Amino acid sequence: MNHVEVDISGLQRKLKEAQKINDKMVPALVDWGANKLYAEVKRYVSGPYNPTGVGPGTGGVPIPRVSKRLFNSIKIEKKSKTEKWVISKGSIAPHNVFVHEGTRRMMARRFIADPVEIMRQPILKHIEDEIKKELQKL
Amino acid sequence: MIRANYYKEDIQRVIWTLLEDLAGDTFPYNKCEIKFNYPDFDVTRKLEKPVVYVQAPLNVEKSYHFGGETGLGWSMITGIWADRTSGHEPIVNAFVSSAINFFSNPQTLNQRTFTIKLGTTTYADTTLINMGVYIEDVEDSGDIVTEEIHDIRKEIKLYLRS
Repeated sequence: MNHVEVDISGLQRKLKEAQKINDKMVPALVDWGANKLYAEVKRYVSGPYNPTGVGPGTGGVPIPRVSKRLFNSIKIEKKSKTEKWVISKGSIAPHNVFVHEGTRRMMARRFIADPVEIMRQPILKHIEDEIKKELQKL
Repeated sequence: MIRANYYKEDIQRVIWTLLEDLAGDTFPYNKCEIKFNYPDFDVTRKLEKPVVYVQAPLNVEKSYHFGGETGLGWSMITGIWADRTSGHEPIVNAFVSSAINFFSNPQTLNQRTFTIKLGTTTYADTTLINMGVYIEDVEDSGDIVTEEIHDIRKEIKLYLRS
């Protein structure tokens, strides 16, 4: 049987547009958020070269470093289109967990957890604002 | 009240003083040594009794209200560290459970009084809420990796508003 669909309220068109936003815009925003976080974590571990290993004050950031291994261990890992992780690869810097959590001799310097806490609100707010802006255009 | 120019230190000191006060009369806090900041090596080297450490808060949120008044959100780590071979594991577990219960129960939390000195002012028999610190949430961060295999270390994360 033939039928004719009339989208009087424009709802169907709006739903299709919203789906396009979801498909294209959300992955781009996730990329943006992951890159922001990545840059912040890199900043945390980009302390001055310190060959003696005796840090000038353990509480301050950036972290003084003996080698570039911790800095180079920071990577973005893609889990799906809408999920990206900022990680420190243990295969590059096996000491990463002890720098992050601290040891009996060394204060914890949470080079991933702290940036996540600090950047959470601005990143989520930006993503929310951008999506709202696009939805308002419909 | 905590001072606007000393937010970080004052919030840390308020929580530390509250735990110190609990250590005077309440189990399991009275079995622990309460340390302001990450414990020094001379403390962790011996670990004669479980060490509770209160770290500085991290500013994680800003909110603006009418009239330009700003509210600040903070996250703050409090942990406990002990030597498993000394038989302190039950105290560590009791501390985590007790702290989560204490900080997530506003009725008892805001009745607990303590005395604190911030700058040159001493506040006697004050409460957390009177000092302008509000606990929003408390989260169990679980076990923390330790270098020494005999060590046991756990942390909780407090979300506060000032």
